[in-house]
Amino acid sequence: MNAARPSPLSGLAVGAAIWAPLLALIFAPLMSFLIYGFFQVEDNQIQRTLSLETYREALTNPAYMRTFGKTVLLALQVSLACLVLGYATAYFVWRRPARWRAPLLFLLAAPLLMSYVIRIYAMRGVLGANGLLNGVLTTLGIVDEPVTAFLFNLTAVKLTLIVILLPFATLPTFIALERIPASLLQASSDLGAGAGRTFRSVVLPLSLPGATVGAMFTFVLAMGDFLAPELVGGIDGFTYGRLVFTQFGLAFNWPLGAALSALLLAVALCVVFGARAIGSARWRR
Amino acid sequence: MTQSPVDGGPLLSVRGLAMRYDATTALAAVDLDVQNGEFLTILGPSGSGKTTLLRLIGGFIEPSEGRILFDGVDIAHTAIEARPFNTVFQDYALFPHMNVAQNVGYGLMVRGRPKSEIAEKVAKYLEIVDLAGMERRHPAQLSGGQRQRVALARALICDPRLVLLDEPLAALDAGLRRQMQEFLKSIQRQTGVTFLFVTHDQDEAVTLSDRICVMAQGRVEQIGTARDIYYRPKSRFVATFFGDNNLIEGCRVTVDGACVETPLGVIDLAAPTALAGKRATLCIRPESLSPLSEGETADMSIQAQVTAVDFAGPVTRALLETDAGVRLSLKSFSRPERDSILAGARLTIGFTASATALIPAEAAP
Amino acid sequence: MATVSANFRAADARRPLIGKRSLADWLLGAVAGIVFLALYAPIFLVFALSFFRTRRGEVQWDSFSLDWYGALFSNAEIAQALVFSLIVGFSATLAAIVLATGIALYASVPQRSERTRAVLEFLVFLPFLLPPIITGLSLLILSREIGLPRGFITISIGHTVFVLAIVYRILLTRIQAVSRNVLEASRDLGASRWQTFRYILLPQLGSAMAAAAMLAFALSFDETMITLFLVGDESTLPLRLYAMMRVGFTPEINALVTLVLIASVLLALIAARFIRGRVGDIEP
Ligand SMILES: Nc1ncnc2c1ncn2[C@@H]1O[C@H](COP(=O)(O)OP(=O)(O)OP(=O)(O)O)[C@@H](O)[C@H]1O
Ligand SMILES: [Mg+2]
Repeated sequence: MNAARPSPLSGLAVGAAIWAPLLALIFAPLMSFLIYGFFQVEDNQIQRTLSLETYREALTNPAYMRTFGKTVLLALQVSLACLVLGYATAYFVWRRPARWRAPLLFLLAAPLLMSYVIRIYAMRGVLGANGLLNGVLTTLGIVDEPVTAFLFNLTAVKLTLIVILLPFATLPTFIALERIPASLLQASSDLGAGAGRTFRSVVLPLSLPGATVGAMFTFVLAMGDFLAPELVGGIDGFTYGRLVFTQFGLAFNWPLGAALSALLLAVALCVVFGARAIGSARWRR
Repeated sequence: MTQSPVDGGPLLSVRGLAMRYDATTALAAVDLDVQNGEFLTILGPSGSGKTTLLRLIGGFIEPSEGRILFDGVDIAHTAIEARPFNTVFQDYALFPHMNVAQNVGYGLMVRGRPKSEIAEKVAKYLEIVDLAGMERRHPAQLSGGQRQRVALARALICDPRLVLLDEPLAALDAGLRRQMQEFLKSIQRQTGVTFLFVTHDQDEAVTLSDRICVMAQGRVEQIGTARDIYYRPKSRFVATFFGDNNLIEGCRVTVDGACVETPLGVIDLAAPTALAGKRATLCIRPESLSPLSEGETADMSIQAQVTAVDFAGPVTRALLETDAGVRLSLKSFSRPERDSILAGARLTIGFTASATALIPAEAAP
Repeated sequence: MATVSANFRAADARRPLIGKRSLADWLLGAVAGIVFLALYAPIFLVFALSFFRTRRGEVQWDSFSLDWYGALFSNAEIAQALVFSLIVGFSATLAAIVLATGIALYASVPQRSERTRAVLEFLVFLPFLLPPIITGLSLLILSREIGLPRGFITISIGHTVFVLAIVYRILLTRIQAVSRNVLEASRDLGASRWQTFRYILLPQLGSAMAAAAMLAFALSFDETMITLFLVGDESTLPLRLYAMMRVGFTPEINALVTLVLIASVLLALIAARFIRGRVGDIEP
């Protein structure tokens, strides 16, 4: 009869049932991959002796660093484009009358539930030599011959990633816009601010943190992506994600792959914590 | 006193019950006896610890210190579902996905009672709370008063030894509130179940209760009948919490405790022994003062000047100043013809010693 | 245009609007138009191509047929992949719902410390926030270390971990919306913890669970990057597609893609209805 609190034993059992899967399925894999970076490969055999050799190689080899730099630049461009285009689109949708907003929002979100591969595949149809983009350009007379510059290079990767990752930028922005209390907007116009002024001094400052968090998310995803570069990038579009992926396939150098992606993990964690700081700063205000 | 000690002891005894959160003391060493079958109201201003006390008794939280004795057993740390008490919540807390019958029958259902028994008892209790025919409705389809009654039936159906009600009427409008007060009172009489009721509304407390427990700042100030609380306050807080009161400062109780020297004169009064020889404050209700006509006498009579008169419908209030400079307020029934009490007039007013109460004087400045 | 703009303001007074359509407004509309076009043009192209033949890159608009669909249905490999994807989706969804329900309940106990909750949520959200490649390769390495062969189990684990965050988020929001008083009332009426969960919380979680399950299933059904690391002999549908695309265009891909798209959108629409429709259940 005496049990206002669950007994310490059953509390422990519940705690274990919750924490065990999380630690086993999320924490342990991350740890094991970080440890793998301390191993080496010799004669196609993984040597389980701990050394910093593989990490050193991963972090100093100029070829890897060049690929890393190229990928950071690519991800920055993609996320910036997503930020600008995503913000404009979210703002546009937010300003529609209520009955248009829900369907438009659904249209913005729906691609998230469409297969990633399929959307890359569809982009190939647009970008290819016989693709939609070339078709439009030749029809309009902007170019005489279909250009091959759109597919199997870095530009194709950028365009594809922008289109694929856009929803990750528009949705957080829209949510941030929705959270702005109507009274603030009314107060601003009431105080004599025009629409442009209200946008600059009320709407933008209040929604930019949300939009930035979304854009940071697209940055992380663009950094780690290897499918889009693989399928539309050709040789020119060899990115860091592909470099890592190769280590688990053809190159068969898991320790190197693990060490290389440790850098990716570090970048991603920095961005995640940065985004959290931005996200919570918004509430502290 | 209407205290009715039934077969010996109280139903529930709270001893030294305290509840502390990090910085705040929500409840500080409360003692309280609940008698079987009574309607006991806990009354106090906001933040005085009423809800905390009720939730401790109900078992929703565990006390930092103290005991809750039920049938002689300390249940302060007993699981909530094992206590034979049921609660009526302020926001009713009806299960939104269940209909009225399912809500009311819930306590029996989780005890694994047979369906036929549940149906029978649900029908009976819905009859009692006057909701027969509403079985299939969902809480969202009920009015505030109806939801209230569902909550009450749900709490009563398991035959609890004690029903805990935390401001159950606070969300209702004035008219409905009055109606529900009558209703609660009659249900309590009808079922004979002990009610522990929380409110911060004095009128409600007075109308409903057998006894009232006045709380302030996490402490029990006084427990007694409404009449006791009203006429025999034991502290300054209680004396001023209910309605108007005249507090006459600067009194001194004689050493033998048989009379009190006041600025109005000496009054023969059996003072509480604790106050013998001490400084004290005399309390007297405005309506206990009455204007004396020529030749009438009273235990005490004083001369005073009327400084202001205020007609307020059924009663007329007057502000008086005695020759000794004591300000008093007086309340009497209004009369259709012009009152004898006029601003600027001199009056003789009288009162009986039994209408007064003594409380300890304020700490010396 | 003036009337449109007036309507607009009447319909939605809270959005301060420029009286006349300014240049900025037009620009905004143009950008949004391009974005929507970029999102949907590729998809519609695939959709169209699934019904027509192409010759030397030119679409033959007079060749409407359902041939590609026919070819698709006679492709046994695709059918196998589809079945496997469905099985993985169901398993991962079920596992994620059970796990996320437990975690959300555990996290919403009022006396749980802020720190505990933060660590818990950090772990839950990690696989969703990190690039999928990291989740994939770390699960691959661990499963190799413990000698778990790649296949159904590893893929299901990968998908469970990936969709956990979304399911957790939806369930936690709903659990927090259930009034604490109602749960206390149940205990007060004599119900045990389990009975309170079974009779009070679970029925109120039902629709949130359904919505979360559909989202989880859709995400699992489409997952590719994590799966690539964890796949064994049996391939999921997206991996089958990936393989077909790498060897070149086979036109029946268009038909397959169209069908998958339609299924995804339907699922998303139903999930959206569930998430929204629920609010009305309780307070009509
Ligand atoms: N969970 C808690 N954490 C910290 N302080 C609390 C908590 N619950 C109550 N308190 C504090 O304890 C004191 C008493 O609270 P309680 O709710 O018992 O007051 P009350 O008499 O019911 O007031 P009201 O009439 O407003 O309902 C208050 O000062 C309150 O702030
Ligand atoms: Mg209270």
